Amino acid sequence: MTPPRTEPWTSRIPVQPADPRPIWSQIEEGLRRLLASSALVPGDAVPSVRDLATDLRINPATVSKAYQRLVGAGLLEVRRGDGTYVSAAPPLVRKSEQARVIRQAAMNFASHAITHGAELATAQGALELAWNELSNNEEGAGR
Amino acid sequence: MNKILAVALLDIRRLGFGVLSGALIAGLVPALSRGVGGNVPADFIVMMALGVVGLAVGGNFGTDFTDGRASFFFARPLQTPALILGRCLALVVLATAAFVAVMSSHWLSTSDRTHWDFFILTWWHLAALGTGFSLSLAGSLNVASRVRGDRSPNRLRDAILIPVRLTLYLSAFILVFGLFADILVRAYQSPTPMKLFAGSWVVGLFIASVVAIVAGRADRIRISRFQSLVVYTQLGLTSAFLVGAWTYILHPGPAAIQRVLFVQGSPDGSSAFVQTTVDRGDPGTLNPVFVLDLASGQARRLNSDPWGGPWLSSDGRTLVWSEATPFFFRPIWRLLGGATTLRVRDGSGDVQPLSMPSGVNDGFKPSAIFGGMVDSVQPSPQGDVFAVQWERRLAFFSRSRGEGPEVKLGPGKARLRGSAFIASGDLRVALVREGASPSLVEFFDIDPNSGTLKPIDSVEAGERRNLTRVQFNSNATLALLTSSGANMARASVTLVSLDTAAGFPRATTLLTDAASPRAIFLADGRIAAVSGVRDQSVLKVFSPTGQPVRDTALGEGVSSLDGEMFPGLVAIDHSGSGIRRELVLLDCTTGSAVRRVPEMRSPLGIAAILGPGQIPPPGTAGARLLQSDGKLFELPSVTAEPRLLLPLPKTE
Amino acid sequence: MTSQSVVRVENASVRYNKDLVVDSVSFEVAGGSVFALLGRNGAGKSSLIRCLLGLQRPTTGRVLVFGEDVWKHRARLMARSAYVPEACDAPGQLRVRDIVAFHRSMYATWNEGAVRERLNRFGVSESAAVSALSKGQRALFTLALALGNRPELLVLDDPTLGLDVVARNDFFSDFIGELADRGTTVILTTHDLAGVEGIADRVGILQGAHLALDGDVEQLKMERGQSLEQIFTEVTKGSGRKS
Repeated sequence: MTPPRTEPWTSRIPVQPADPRPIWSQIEEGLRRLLASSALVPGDAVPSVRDLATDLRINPATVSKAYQRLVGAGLLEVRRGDGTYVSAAPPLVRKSEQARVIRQAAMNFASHAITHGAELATAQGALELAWNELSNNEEGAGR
Repeated sequence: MNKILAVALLDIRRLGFGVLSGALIAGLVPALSRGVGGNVPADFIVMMALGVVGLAVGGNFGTDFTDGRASFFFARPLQTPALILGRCLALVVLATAAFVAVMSSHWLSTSDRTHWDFFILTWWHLAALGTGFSLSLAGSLNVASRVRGDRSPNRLRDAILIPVRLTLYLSAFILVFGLFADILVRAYQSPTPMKLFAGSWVVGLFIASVVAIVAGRADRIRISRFQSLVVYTQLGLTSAFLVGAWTYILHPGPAAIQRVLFVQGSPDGSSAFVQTTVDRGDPGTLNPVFVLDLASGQARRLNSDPWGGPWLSSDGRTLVWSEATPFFFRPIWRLLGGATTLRVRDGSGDVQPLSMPSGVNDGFKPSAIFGGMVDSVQPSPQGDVFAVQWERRLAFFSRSRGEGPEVKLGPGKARLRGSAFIASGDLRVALVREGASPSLVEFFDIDPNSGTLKPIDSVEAGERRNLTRVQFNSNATLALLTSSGANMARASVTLVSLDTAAGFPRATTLLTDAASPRAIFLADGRIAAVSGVRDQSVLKVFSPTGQPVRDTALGEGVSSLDGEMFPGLVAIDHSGSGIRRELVLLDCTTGSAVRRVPEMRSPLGIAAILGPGQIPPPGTAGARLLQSDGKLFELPSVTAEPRLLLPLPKTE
Repeated sequence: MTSQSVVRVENASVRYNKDLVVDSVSFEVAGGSVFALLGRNGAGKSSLIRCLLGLQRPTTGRVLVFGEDVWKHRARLMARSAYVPEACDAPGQLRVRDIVAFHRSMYATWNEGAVRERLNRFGVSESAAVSALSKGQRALFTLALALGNRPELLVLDDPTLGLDVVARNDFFSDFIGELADRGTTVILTTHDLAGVEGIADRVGILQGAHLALDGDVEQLKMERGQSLEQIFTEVTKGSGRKS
C-alpha cells in the first residue's frame, strides 16, 4: 500500500467553516480534487470519520454525510472492520450522468467567469491550466 | 446510601484538616490559660469547638452558592435530601473528631483524665453544635440567594413600602418578644422557656433552610421565597401561640387558685386580698392577687404587678394598685413622659388611671420596670389625695387639683417609718433621719397642698433604731414604736402620745429587753403586747395611757401576737418544738384562752405591719380569716368550725 | 439516536423580580445533534442553561429532557446527562482524585478507565489540588469528568473561554471524538463562533429575551451567504445589554 501521508488533512482538504458553502460539500470537493490530482489513488485509505472530524474540527456527522455521498457516488468504499478506502475500480458513470455533471460544472464555471468580467479566451486558458496541473500531479506521483 | 456517604466524605475532606488542627490547638487552651492564671474549663472549649464545627459545615451550603458551585451538586443524579443528609453526616463525624481532638490535646497537656468521657457532653454542647449549624446554614443561604435588584427602583413605592414593612416587622417582633418576655418575667423565671423558645427558632431556621434547598435547588428566587415562607409561618404560629399563652397564663380565674400565700383584709373587713399560686406558671414567680368578697365568697383577679399594691384608704372605699401592663413597653412609655401603671377604683366601682408624680419617672432603673415603680400609694379617706412613696421620696397627688408637691424629707436621707392621714387632711408621718441622733424618731404633719412639714414631736426610741416599726392608732393620736438593736432579742416598745391635749406623758416605755415583741392597739383603746422574756412568752395588756393592766403567761413554746380577731379577743400564734402549732384566742380582760384552733394562723399578724388603716376591725369577716397549708378559712364565730374559702371549694 | 427530541423547551420564561431575562422561548434539540445557543453577554443564556439542568425552575413554561420535566425529575435525568460549566465548579481545595471518587459514586455508568486515561493524556495529576491546576488543565479536567459517565446529553457553558490554543485543541479533539464515538446530543453556549461553526448543527440566537433565530446552520448560511459570525453580528446588532 502507499506509505502513510504525514501531512495533516487540514491542509489537504481545505475546509472553511466560515464559508457559506455546506461543509460536507467542501469535504466532497476536497476529496474529489485529491482524487483527480492523484494525490489519492484507488486503494488509498481515507481517514476515519473520527480522525477527519477531529483534524478539521467539524462535526463527525458532517464528515459521515460527505463520506456517505462519496460512497453512494462510488468514489469511496467501506471495508467492514478495516476502514474507508478509495474505490479500486473507477466508478461506472453513464454517459448521460457524465454529461449532466460536466454541464453543471461548466455552467458554474462559466457563470463565475462571466460575472467576474472574464472573456471566453481567459476562461478557456484557465481551464487548460487547471487540467494540466492535475495531470502533472498524477505524473509527479510516479505512477 | 452510597451517595450520602460520598457527599459526607467530600465535606469531611474539605473541612477535616482545618477542624482537626483547630481542635487540637483549642484543646491546649485550658492548660495555657492556667499558666497565665486564668481558668478556662475544658467543657467550654468543647462547646466552642462544636459551635465552630457547626458554623463551618452549615456555611458550606451558602458558600457553595456564592462561589458558583451549586451546579457541582445539583447537576448530578443526587437527590436533594441526600445532599442534606450527607452534610449532616459530615457534621456528626467532624463534631466527633473535634471532640476527640480537643479532649486528646487537653488530656496530654494537663493530664486531666476526668474529662476523657463522653459524659461531659451536655445539652449545651449539642445546642452549640446545632445552633452554629442552623444559623450559618440559614444565614449563608439567605445571603447567597439575594436576587439581583430591580433594574428600575421605584422611589415612591419604596418610600411607602419600606416604612410599612419595617413597622410590620417591628410590631411583630415587639409582640412576640414583648409578650414572651412578659410571660418569662412574670411567670417562668427559669431557663426552660427561654431554651424552648430559642430551640424552636434554631429548629425552625433549619427546617426553613431544608425546605428552601429542596424546593429551590439553585433557583435563588425560590430559595429566598421558601425560606421566608417558613420563617414567617413560624413567626405567625409563634405569635398566635404566645398571644394564647400570655392570655392563658397571665390571666387566671379564681378557679385556678391552688394555694393562698398571703392574705390582707380590707379596712372595712368585708373583703380580703389574697396572693396565690395558681395551676399555671412557676409557683415561685407567678403569684396573682385576687379580691375575695367575704360575704359571697366570690373572687376576682386584680391585675396587679408583683408588689404593686393593692393599697386601700382607711375607709376601704378607695383601692389603688399598679396594673400589670406588659412591662416591655414601659421604658418607652416612660421616655415618652408617659402613661402610668397606677389604677384607682373608688366606691362606685369605676377604674381610672392615676397619674404618678413626675419625680417617679426621673432616671431609668431597669429593676423598676419589673418590680413596679412606686413603693406605696396611700389614698386619703375621701379618696381625693394620694401619698406616693418611692425610692425614699414622698409626693402628693390630688385627683381634683392634679400633681402636688414633692416633700423634702431631708436634710439628709430619711426613712418614712409610718404614715396615716388624719382628720385635718394632713398626712402624719414618723421619720427616721440619718444625721440626727441614731435612735430619734420624728413625727410631722405634712400638708398635701404645700408639702410643708409641721413638726409634732420627736422621741428617742431607745437603743439603736434598727428595725424600728411605727404603728399609729385609728386616729393617729397615738403611736407604738418597736425598735431593737442588731436582732430582735433585745427590743423595746414605746407608746408615744401625739395629741398634746391628751395630758399623759409623751413617751411611755411599755417593754424593754423583750424578745421579738409585738404590740397592737385594741379597738377599745387598750394596748396588747406579746413578748418572750427568757424563753417564756407573756401577754401584756396596758391601759390606753400605757399603764400595765395584766400579764398572762403563755406557756412553753414560741408565741406571737397576730391581732384582735373578735372584740377583746386576740389571736396568738403558738408553736415550738414538740408542740403542735395552733392559734389561741385569748380574752384580754380575763386572760383565759377561749378557743384553740390547731394548725391555723391569722393573717392579721402580717397585715399589722402595714398600719392601722389597713387592718380590718375585729369581729368583721376580714379579721376572722385563718390560713393553713395554703388554704384560707373563715372563723364564723368563736365556737364555730373554720369554713373553707379558698381554693374554691369544688362544686359537685 | 432516535429522531425524537432529547431536549424540548416549551415557552420557557425566566424572570428575576422585574427583570424578564428569557421571554417565552421554545426550541427542540434532536438526538445526536449539536445545538449552539448564542447571545450577547447577559442575554439569558446562563439562566436557560440552568433551567435545562433542573437547577432553576423557569418562571413559566417547562423544559423536557428525555421526554420528562427536568425540574421534577432532575436526579433521574442527570444520570444520563453531564454538564461542563464555564468555570470549574469543584471545590478548589480538594484533590483531583477526591473529585473523581465523588463522581464515581454518583453514576452507575461511570467509566473509570476512560477518565484516568484522559487525565493522563491531559497531564492532570491525580494528587493535585483542583485550585493548583492551570486554567487549561481545569477545563480539560471538567471535560474528562463530564464525559466519564458516558452521557447521552452534554451541556456546555462556554467551555473554551480563556483557554490557550493548545488547551482548546485538546478540548475539541476529545469532544469531537466523543461525538464520533457515541453520537452524544450536545447543547452549548459560546463566544468562540469560529470555533464551533463546523460543529454546530443548529443554532439559536437569544436576543432581547427572545429566540430571534433558530435554525439549521448549513441552511442559514446558504440562504444568507454569510458565515455564522456574520449572521450573529447582524441579528444582535445594537442589542448590547448591561450584564
